[in-house]
Amino acid sequence: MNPIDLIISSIIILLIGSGIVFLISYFRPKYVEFCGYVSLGFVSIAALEILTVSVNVFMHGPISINEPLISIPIMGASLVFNFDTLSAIFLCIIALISVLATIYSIKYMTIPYAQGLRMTGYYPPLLLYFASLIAVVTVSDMFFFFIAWEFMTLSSYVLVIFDRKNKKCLRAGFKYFLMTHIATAFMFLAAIILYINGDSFSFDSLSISLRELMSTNPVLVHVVLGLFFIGFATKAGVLPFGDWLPDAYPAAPGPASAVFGGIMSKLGVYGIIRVFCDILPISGFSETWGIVISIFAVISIFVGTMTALIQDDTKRLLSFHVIGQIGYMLLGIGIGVYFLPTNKVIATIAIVAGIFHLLNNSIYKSSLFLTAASIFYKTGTRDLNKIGGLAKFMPMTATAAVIASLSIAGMPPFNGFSSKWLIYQSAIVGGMKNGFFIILGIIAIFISVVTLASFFKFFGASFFGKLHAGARNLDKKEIPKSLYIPQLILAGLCILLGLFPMLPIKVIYSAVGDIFGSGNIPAIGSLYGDSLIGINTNFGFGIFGSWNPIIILAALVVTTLISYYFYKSGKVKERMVESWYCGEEHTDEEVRYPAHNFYLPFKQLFRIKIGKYEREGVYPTIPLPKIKFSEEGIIKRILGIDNWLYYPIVNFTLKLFKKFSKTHIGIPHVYLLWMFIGLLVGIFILYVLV
Amino acid sequence: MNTIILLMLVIPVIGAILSGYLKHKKSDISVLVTSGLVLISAVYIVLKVFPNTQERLLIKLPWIEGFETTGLFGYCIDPLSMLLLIVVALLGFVVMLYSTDYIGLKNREHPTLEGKQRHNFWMMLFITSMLGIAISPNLLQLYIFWEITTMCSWALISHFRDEKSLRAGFKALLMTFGGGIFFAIAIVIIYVKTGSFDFSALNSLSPGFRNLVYFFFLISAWAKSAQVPFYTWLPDAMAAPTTVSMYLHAAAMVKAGVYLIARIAVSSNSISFSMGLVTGIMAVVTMLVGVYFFFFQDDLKRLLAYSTITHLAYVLLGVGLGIMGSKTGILGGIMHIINHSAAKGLLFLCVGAISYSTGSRSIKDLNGLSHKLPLVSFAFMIGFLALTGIPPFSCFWSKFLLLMGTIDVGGKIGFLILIPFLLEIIVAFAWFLRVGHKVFFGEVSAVSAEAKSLPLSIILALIVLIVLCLAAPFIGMPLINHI
Repeated sequence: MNPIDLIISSIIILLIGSGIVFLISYFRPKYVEFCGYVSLGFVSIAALEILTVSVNVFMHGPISINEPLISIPIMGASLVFNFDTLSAIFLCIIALISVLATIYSIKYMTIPYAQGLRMTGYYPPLLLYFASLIAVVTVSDMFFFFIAWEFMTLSSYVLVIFDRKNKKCLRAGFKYFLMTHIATAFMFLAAIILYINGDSFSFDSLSISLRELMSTNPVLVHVVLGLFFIGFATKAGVLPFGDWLPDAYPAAPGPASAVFGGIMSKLGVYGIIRVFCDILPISGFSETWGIVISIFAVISIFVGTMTALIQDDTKRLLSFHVIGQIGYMLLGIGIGVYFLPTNKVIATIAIVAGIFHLLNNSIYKSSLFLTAASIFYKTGTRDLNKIGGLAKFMPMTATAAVIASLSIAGMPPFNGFSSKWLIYQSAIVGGMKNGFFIILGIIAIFISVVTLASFFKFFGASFFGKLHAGARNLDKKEIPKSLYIPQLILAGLCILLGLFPMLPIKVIYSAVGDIFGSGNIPAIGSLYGDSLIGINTNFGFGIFGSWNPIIILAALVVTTLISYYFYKSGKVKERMVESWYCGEEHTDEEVRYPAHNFYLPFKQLFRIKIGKYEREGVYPTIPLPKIKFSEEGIIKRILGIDNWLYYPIVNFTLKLFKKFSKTHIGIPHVYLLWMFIGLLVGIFILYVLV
Repeated sequence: MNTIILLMLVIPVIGAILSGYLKHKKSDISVLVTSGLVLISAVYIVLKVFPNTQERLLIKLPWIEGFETTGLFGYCIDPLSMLLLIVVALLGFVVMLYSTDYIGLKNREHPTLEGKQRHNFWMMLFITSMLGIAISPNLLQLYIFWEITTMCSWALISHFRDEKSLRAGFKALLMTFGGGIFFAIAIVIIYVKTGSFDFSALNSLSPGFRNLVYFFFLISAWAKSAQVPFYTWLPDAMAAPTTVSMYLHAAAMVKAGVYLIARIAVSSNSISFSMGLVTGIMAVVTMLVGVYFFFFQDDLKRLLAYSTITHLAYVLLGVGLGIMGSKTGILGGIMHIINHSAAKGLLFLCVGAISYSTGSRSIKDLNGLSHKLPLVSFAFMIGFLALTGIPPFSCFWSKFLLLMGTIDVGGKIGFLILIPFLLEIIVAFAWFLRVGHKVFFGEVSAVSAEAKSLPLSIILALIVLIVLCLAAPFIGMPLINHI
């Protein structure tokens, strides 16, 4: 089968699967795990197909099919697919995470079922959601892209409101659907403006009409780009547009939030890459919008991560980190877009770094969301204050969580470090050309520490320390294999990509090459060195960087071995004792260090106070005032035309009729009088006329 | 072909007489059979004609002076009339199917069989008159059927014969008939000046008269389609049974007004820009007015009525854009006729099903219905998504074309229309999402807890319209391609 058939059939398989699972779960609500297995079957087939396509693209370069599958001449839209390496990377991520999340769902979804929720609201939209994800990253026609995009919004909205009795979930779903719908409307506008100036919705044609507009109407170009940016930034969760995200992600069931965190927010970044790197021709506009993207990126990094620091809800904490991490990716891409017209070396390294961070992030972020789901599975709570010491009976989950946490915090030698290191480099080297980027880079580096602190809190409060009193009666068994194996796979990938960063970088480099034309960017050897083991960046004007995870790892291993040798040779006897509370008598609960007490000075430092309004942290959610509609407003009185126009007229006419009817009194003489008067009047009129 | 078209007009009349004469079950069966036959013949006609763009016949009337050779009455089937034909025939069948159980003793809102035959009679007569509008070859025939629909509407709104519905029926009759007078005057002007009743006769008028006649048509359409300033009768008309509200006051009769304007705009190419502007601006004003009233509605049906007002304005907006020079705009407007009928029809049937099973239509009282009536809530959500234009459902396609048309017209006028149009789209989306959440999700309220199960006919009608919400663009798109 050729790639296009594979993609189409994978989408169709998922759609059919969704229908079948819907029927099963509707008519046989008890078959919860069975639904999961059936979904897993469909998802795995689809995943295999899209993996085949992406491997094909990695081997033979981009595939573009110019023959449209469906074409709507009135709208100038035609369904065209285009698989470049960037799409292929996304297809890989989708294949990986969709399969793992579905495996995870099989056992996990028994918990919501036990609470009385039906699977009709979970598996069918999940499969539809995967289908729309595949379509979003492969379609190369703006019209069908938006259809897939809205379909993704729709199916994810259904997942967000999975818990239909919970007011919080419903509110979150409402906010999410409304905000993203408005954002999509903006993007539609932008696309239509470009379409009117060209004649088709295909990416190429939009790019051409954008180029034409640059000379004729530069203001409109800024408007179009602004609309696109707002649209995609809303989906990605960039602040302030991403205000819905910290509410909506926690509302969905665990595995679904893992897919959201792993893929959906990244698709916003995908859109930004497509618009600002692919559709926007390289020009002065790139510089302006590069700076805009970077500024919003840094705002997200700062506000998102700082707010994550004070969260006590596992999933909410992770959601704020989604915002922060998206900021890192966009920082890389923003710097890259800024330097596209002037310095190809920095531009390429920055964009590659951004995409690399995106890849890494979707791996560890989905792993972390799965961790939060596992904690919920085990303890039934998402409150970090009410758990603790889970490492004792969830060792596998704890291992995966620690690896993923260290990755997201950017600790070497895990994968998060490599990409962050590249982003910092491009920020700092970019700062030599334009000092502004240095500030951004410094903020990003500082926030990296905050990320680490926040994840110390996350896994420290959940896995280490003493068990919470409420959790004493928990079943001491490890959670089912199907729950921790997906996490371990993702954690393994974190280590793999961390140790061999050049593998993904090569692929991403060719993706960037596909976008700009491989002749237009510097050769890969001159940017990253030729070694496969480490990265040796070369910015071209005497600035080099070098990172070799294997050597670092070797050093770490050797030092660990040495210290272990010292430890062993000392022949110390191990003994387990109760904690000593300096001779005072305390219950365990009194000496526990709950999550809420982490980083108190920070909380006090970042406290917003404007007049009466006061809240912790830097995240500015302002409670919306309740809208009240007055029944007696002036507008309503004006618009109630009935009352001041129609009813008076009708009443007046009716009164007139009544008066007229009074002439009919039933006495023949009076009628004769009327006839006589009428005759006279008639004669008079005829006399006047003739 | 001629016989089929004649049959299509005569069968519902026979159905009307039969259903008025026969009792209970037999009345239902006669209605179902005749409306089914109408559907079949309409589909046959459309399939027979479709690849061609027009099939036309005028019967010669040698005894009337001036029409010895040209003919006065007959039919004309082109893509525009096919669109209306499908809407009328299909939704007519669905609504008759729905009404077999809806008007009955198990309906908790109006548990009565009284007047069922009357209802069936007027509905079937209405189908005839609406089909007559769809196939009319000239203005005179259209006017005749137009006034028959007004009469049916009056009779059906007053169905329950209580104070409220009698008043509402009287109000609707006065306003739509008042608009009809302008229609009659316009026809007379055209005939006196050109000696013809053809739609394209407008082209041979002098520009001043052309604008005047178009404006008169516009007034009659505003009254018929409940646009500003004549919108007030439609919300009151919701006193009628839900079947009537759905069929006459959302899907078919109110479409006659916008159909007339679309018909005139398609067949005459010389209407002035300023008239297009008037059409467009008034459409936008109507949208804002309609949306403004959303916020005060507690009765689901009244909410839907205001939404119908805004959506009919979409069609007029499209026509206005078309007169101002955007082909995509008018095509979008015309396509919106079928797309809106599918979505709004589904929503009305859902509300009907809710009042059938709970006895209430109040947004305040209903809560958490999805636990009791999963199918209805699914159908309502699909209808809501289709109405507010979420792809791939129906109204998305026409809304998109309308947006394209607005930007196509461009300039200050385009901007002036675009902003309120977008505002309407977003506010309507938000409000319907809110209402959907309120009524179907959350904790189950006392009224919702007593919901009874639904009969098969209602379920079938809902499923047909759910499918139509997805399929409507597939019917509409090829048709508007040939306009």
